[in-house]
Amino acid sequence: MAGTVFDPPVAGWEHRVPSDKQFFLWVLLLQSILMIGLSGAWIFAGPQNNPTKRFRASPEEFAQRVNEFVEKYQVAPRTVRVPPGEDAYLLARAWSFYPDLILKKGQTYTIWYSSVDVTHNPIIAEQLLTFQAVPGHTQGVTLTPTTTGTYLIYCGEYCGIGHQAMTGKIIVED
Amino acid sequence: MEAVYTDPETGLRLDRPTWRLIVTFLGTALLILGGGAIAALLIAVTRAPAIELLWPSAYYMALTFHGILMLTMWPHVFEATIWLWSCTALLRTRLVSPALAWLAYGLALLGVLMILGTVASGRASVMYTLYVPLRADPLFYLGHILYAVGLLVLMILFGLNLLKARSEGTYTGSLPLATYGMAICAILTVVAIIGAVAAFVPAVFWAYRMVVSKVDPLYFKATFWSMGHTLQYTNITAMVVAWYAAATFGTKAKPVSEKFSRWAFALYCVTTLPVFMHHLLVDPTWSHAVKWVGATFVGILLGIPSAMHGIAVPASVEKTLRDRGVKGLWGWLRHWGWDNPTMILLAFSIFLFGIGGFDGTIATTMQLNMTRHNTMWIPAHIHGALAGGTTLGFMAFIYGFLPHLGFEMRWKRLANFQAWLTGIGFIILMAGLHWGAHLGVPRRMQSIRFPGTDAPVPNWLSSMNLMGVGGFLAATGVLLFVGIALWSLLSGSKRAPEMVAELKDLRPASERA
Repeated sequence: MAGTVFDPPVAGWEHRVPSDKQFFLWVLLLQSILMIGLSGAWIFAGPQNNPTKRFRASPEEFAQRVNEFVEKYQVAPRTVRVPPGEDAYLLARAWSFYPDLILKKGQTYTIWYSSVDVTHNPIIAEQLLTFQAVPGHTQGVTLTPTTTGTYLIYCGEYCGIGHQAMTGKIIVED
Repeated sequence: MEAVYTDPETGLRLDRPTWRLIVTFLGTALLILGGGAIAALLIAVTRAPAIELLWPSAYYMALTFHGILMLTMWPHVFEATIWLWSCTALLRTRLVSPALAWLAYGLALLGVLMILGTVASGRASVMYTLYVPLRADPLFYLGHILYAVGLLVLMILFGLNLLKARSEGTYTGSLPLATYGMAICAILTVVAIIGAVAAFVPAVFWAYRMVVSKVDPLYFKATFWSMGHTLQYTNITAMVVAWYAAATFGTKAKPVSEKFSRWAFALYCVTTLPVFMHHLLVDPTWSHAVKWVGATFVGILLGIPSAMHGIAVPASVEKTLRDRGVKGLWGWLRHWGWDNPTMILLAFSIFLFGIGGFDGTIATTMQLNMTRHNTMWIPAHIHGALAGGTTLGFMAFIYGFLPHLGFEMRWKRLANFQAWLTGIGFIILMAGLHWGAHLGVPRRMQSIRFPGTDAPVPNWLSSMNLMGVGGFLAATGVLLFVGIALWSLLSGSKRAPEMVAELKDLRPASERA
């Protein structure tokens, strides 16, 4: 059985990797460089990039900001029409996203989101946008809605027994 | 006088204390795998919207069991088998101290029982990811620490054994490739255990409400995954060793280029270091530069060693078959060994691991992560890489390994059926998971109907029903495997030990000349 993976390698194994095997290495390396390069270039050239706006705030401070925001722009219970140019807030708490946001198509908004208890993960269904909401850390995602409609937000991070009922809503109007 | 088992096929010899340890670890791992597969069955029929069997609390408990049994426990307890075998029989020596290995087994088992007990009591339905500030019973965190310490003891033993064999000169030249791979695997495990200490020690104090009043969720997440994802790479390294070994068991294949394979193993040591960053790409931390370098740059390079092995293992089979006179471009694939469960499972394992690996590469590309994080894509990645890849690879290894331990394979025709059933089940499961991922189906959810909302819920049902069918078939296949392997173990070894007067050297007869 000499020469199998169960035996010490036969003498001379440490010589160069034969060129037909090196070929595969170059193919793999070029593929990787292409993918890495595309992602790196997209940071500067692409319109879709991961959120970088953030600040630290205790859950109480963040909840207070959200309440002030809701009181100012509320149009119905739990529902806020965000004026163009203003920042929006989204609070994750077991087990709902608060408040429901009404946005205008074609306007650019920054939505600040965080959690006040455990870790949550708002996902905008259909649009497949997903961000982590971590207590104590607030993050802002800047986006421009381009289609009208009502979009479900659900939670992607397990957060307790009511996780499957945790939802929110974004309405995009013309 | 000492008892030694000699494998008639390879000539490799095992002393009785090590043989006992290997069988114990293997049997325990099979029981854990069986438990995880039962949980998988329940999950599959709950997540299929046509059935939705379990209610929320039961579902989340089953899911916690499934994750912990299959991710945290089964691979590492099983890897102990390969570790012990590769540092004794393959190095032609015996263990420095079987007692140390039993200590590792005892600590890990105690940890396992504490974790499973707290989950069963309903006070730790927090998933295998257990992100603080989700709170579980303190014993749950303590169990993780004991389990990690058990693994660490085993790693120390493995290292000592390498030194012992080297100093005694029981083998010449370099380590056998399988042992070399398991040594890389041990290095990664030690790195992971450092992460485990950083994550779990503060968490235990926090859970007991002593000293630590608050653990930063991002700190926990980063340290948890510096343990968690690195441990997945120990599984992958061990899986690759199992691939090479299964190819040898099945066709007596030899590696095409030792240097190529060794380079691929060594690369894992470098590319897995920032692997925890993959989990924080959409978290409120770090700049684009850090995320791109740590997760995307190194993360995509991480695919290279796996792809190298994915080429090298089938190539070793191809070369062996061609040397035996198989003709044509694809003749080797036709003669792969489609009537041998080891070779069937090896083929499925490489195929599914490839899909899971591509999924991971996409999920770790910084911008694409915004559309993949915490959706069905992640279970798809895990079930490709860890379940389809690692678990099926280990199954292939176990089918080939049992006869080498002296156990007769029972129910051979059923094993053949089991191999096809599990492989095809996983392919259907992966199809359902990917389909669901493209529609944005949430993961870890008992129901995806959202009765409480007036927002339109996308039509996710067909994809998840397909997932349910695949999951049911795959889990049934895994349960069949556990039955076959356990029955073969329980039927007892056919091999009689031979008594040796002086046991310094366990080299096969052919090498002792």
